[in-house]
Amino acid sequence: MIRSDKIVKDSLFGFLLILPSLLLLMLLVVFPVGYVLYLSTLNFDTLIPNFVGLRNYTELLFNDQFFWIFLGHSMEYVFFAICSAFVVALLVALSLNTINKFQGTLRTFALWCWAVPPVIASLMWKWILNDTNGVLNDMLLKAGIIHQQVAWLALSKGTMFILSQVHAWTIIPFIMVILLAGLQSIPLELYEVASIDGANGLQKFRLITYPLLRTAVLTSVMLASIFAFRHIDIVFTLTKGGPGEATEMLVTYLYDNAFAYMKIGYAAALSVIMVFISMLIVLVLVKLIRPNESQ
Amino acid sequence: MKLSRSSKILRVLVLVLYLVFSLFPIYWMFITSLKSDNEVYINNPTYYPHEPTMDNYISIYTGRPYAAYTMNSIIITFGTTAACIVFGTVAAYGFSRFKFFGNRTLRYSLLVSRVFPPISLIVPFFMMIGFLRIYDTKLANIIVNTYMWLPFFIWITIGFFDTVPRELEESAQIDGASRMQVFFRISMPLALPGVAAASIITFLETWKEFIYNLVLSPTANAKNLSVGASDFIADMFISWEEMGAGAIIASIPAFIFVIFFQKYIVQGLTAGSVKG
Repeated sequence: MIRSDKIVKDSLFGFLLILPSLLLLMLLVVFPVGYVLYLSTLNFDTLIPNFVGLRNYTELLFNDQFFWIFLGHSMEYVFFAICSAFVVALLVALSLNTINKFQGTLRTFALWCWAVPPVIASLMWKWILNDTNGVLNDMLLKAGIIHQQVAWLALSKGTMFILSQVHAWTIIPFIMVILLAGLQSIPLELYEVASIDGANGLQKFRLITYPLLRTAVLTSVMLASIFAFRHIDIVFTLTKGGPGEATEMLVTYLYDNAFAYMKIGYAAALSVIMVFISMLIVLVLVKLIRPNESQ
Repeated sequence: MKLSRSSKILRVLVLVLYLVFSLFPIYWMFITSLKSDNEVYINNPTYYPHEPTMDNYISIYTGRPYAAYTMNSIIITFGTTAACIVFGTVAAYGFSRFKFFGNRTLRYSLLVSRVFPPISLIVPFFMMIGFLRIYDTKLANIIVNTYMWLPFFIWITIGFFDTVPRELEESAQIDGASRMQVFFRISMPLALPGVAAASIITFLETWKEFIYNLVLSPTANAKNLSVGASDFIADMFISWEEMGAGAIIASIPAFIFVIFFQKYIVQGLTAGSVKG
């Protein structure tokens, strides 16, 4: 009797503890989400916003060709950024894993790129990629790879790729740290046994490292992808969507609709669609690289 | 594990190449900030400053409201981190220790809020903050940053409170300690590494924040260093050497944090993602 009394009291106390945060998050999550849903049904072209139901959504999905083009750009950005970041992060993590000396120091330097505010990182790269005084052009000219200065941030094709690589630069440490933690949880004995059985390096990677690393791969790639999809700092400082609309993405389109064209209802509808796309990205990635439960 | 000579060389090569690639932009910005404008605008870039000068640092602090931006960044980051620690540790303790209706559901809803792109809430926040008449204040920035990082903070610290053995708390209660004493003397100190990891990540992420600050803080009242540095490219003529100084100022605290708290950052990043 006394025991169950204590449990009730305890659970009440526990609920009281989370209550302040709960209220705060309700206020900060439920209210804005509800508000964005409400805004997405309004049309702001008139002086007094009027209710248009789902017309903003149908307009975006079926009548707005830009939406699909910019969605394509966003996907390109996420894909190229994550692919290169992942490959580099995996190579660095594998190299760092078995080196005991300086591991801490090396990790510190690697983490610096992650700690630099993304805007600052893109300013650094904007200066490096500058066409007339940039150091990249200078190096490539001296090496004889190019013969005249290239305006890296004004290419109609290719600037999108460059943006994604700047993004990759900022997230390599994040993926690397997660992969490294995954690698360090693999028992070394497994490798020793494999060596005795005569497995070579590649076989060890395929049969031991990769299967056991799958969870770390999934989480790092998934998080990095949704972070990249929502990321605006880099494109905003490097090109603002230019040249023309070559690097315009959903994030910049949302920003422009809300703050440049004042089409607030339209921007709100786009926000809601972006949430669904993020969830879709998560689902696809989970399907693709989910660790096999049976193994 | 024994490594062959060639594989060792390969590993070192990968690391050296990566370090050059990752540190070069930082080095380049740093030396640019030490150059005079004559040296920046010559046709062949110099790979180290021939006449290093601190003029750019002095000029951004005298010619632009950089002192205000620096203070804003500091106040917004400390305010956000403090709010997350106060609300977050208490909530995480509640989640970890007590069974109540909806515990699991609420726990997982913390994760959903991380999938939500912050930019999608920029319009409602913009209007909410206008309605509350706190547009262009540090308070508005603290509120939106807390919204972004509190769920993450709670999620990480729950995991660390879970590792504190229940028996320890129970025996303290038998010895006559009150609930508050149990929390402050036993659970909290044992979960401290987790709280530290979550706080440091929250601190750094708030320090790096850009888009909300850009939209919510147009003047020196609440503008932070990231947005302050990006102002240089809004100008007609970009002063790269001054921008370099601004960029270095905005990054230095982050560098120092990484040097001192690398272990906690790694812990926070991996705890947050392996379980999340």
